[in-house]
Amino acid sequence: MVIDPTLMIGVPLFIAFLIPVSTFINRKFPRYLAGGTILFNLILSMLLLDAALKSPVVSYLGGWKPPFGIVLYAGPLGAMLALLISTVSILTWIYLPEYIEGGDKEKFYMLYLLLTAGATGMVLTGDLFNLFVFTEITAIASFSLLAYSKGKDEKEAMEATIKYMIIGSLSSAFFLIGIALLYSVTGTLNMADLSSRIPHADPRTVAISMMFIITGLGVEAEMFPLNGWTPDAYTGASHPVSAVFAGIVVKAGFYALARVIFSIYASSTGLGIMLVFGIITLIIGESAALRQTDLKRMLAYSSIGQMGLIITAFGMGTQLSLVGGLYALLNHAFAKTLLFMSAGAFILSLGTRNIGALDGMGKKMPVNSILFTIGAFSIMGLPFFGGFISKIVIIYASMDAGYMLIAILILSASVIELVYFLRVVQRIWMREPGDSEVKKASNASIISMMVLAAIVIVMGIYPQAFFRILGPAAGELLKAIGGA
Amino acid sequence: MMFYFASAALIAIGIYMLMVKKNLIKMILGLSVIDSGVNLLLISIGYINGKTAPIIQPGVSPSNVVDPLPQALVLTNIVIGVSVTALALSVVIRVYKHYKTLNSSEVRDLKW
Repeated sequence: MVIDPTLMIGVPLFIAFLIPVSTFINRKFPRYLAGGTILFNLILSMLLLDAALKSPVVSYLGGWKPPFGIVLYAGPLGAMLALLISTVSILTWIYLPEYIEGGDKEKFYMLYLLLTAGATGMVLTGDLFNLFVFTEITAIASFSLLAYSKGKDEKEAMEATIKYMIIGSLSSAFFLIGIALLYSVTGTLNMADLSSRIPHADPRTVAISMMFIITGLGVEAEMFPLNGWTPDAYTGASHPVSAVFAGIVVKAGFYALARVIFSIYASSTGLGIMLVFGIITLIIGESAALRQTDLKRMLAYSSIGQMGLIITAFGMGTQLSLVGGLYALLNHAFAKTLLFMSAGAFILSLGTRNIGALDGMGKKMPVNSILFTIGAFSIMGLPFFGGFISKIVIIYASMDAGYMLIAILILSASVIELVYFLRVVQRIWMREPGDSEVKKASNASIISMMVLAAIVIVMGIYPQAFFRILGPAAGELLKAIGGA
Repeated sequence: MMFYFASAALIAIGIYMLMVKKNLIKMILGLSVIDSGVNLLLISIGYINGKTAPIIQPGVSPSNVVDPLPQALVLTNIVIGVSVTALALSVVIRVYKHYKTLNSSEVRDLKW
């Protein structure tokens, strides 16, 4: 059976705008409509991944053949990320009802579907301007989701939103300038066409356009020094939105960055930029996380650090390092979503984000504490969790490629990571609890966290299943760059 | 050639506004100015002096029209720009409700 990737973007977009209307049927209806649509995407992306592993799935929008029409291209990498996006999306959908406040929940679900559709579009498109449009859809949906918070957190959410909006809009303007310059020297926007025409184009214009595009996309990918919005946004957002940012928005943004550097420019300068800024991002993120006293802010900086690790791994540009980077990407998407969810449950029952308040939570909320610990162990890279495999592959790959310094820096960043996560885990399990009453997390949210924890553990003890997909996915990126 | 200088100037003015102005509304105006600059850049890339609009009618053949693709891109970008500006302004209204100021250096409860 041939799967049309258009459906995975078109159906959620269409349903998203039906949701405000559907609330007339029943107040509960929008939630299930959104859930059903994401489930539809999940099933379709599984079938798509299966098909894409055999041969890339290409779909011409409106029947117009490239270079005239827009083309959707689902290789192993794009299909894998589409599956990742819909998995994180459906699990967060299960988790979220008690964590969003306010009466107009249908608006939340509408934006949530728009975000899912936009991110799916980002990973499946084969056209540069189309990538820009989907980036904007994702960005506008995430600005609005970030602003969607009521009560005492609203003030912080507003501040984070205005910061994120200004830097996000500026970055998308830069991205578009890059596209315009590239179009002026190549006369096409199709990614496959672009990569074949770039070697014959004026190299100076191409280099300038690459700088603009890297600056524009680096913001979404949390690349230093463009990540000033990240800690504020993760702190200000409501808990499911932070989880979705870590699991979907940043991953799609990073995919766009990697896709542009590998498939379009195929440039070793681009890889060098990724390597240098990736390692700086890693060190800065982890060091900043060390001195946080706010739980969500600590997780946000840890997220920056992990993205730095992934960007570094991609910057090395070997088959092995790409597999390691993709493994780290999957692990981070699942484990960090899990951490934000369980941290959300802690914060909801404690009423504060202060790490000091977590004393003895292991006795009061045992299940949630175990789930948080699993997520933390996986991010740290302890054996039998997904993070271990990803870190060992990346370090091995960096020694293999002759980057000893990078391997040392990654190891030392892992030590910092170990320190600040163990500090929290130790507070949860070793301290005596206070005598305040806590509210238990709902069963639905526990189930979705358990699924994420199970995925993380499976990634740690049975990595072969994932390597089978990641190998072709890394090969797809490397093919363009000529196996460098 | 003049158009390129004009669009570069617009983008530079917009970035200057973002960097120097403290008022949030002026910063959003700066974003709009950058957007106009980018639109002008796109249009001037497709513009060929002395040629006409790419609409099929008597006297117009594919050899004497300008490149229509940048114009489609600009239309899309105008729509995106409008919606981002509207969203930003509505966020500014709510920022004002909480902080009672539009000065961006006073809106800083969140720190490193």
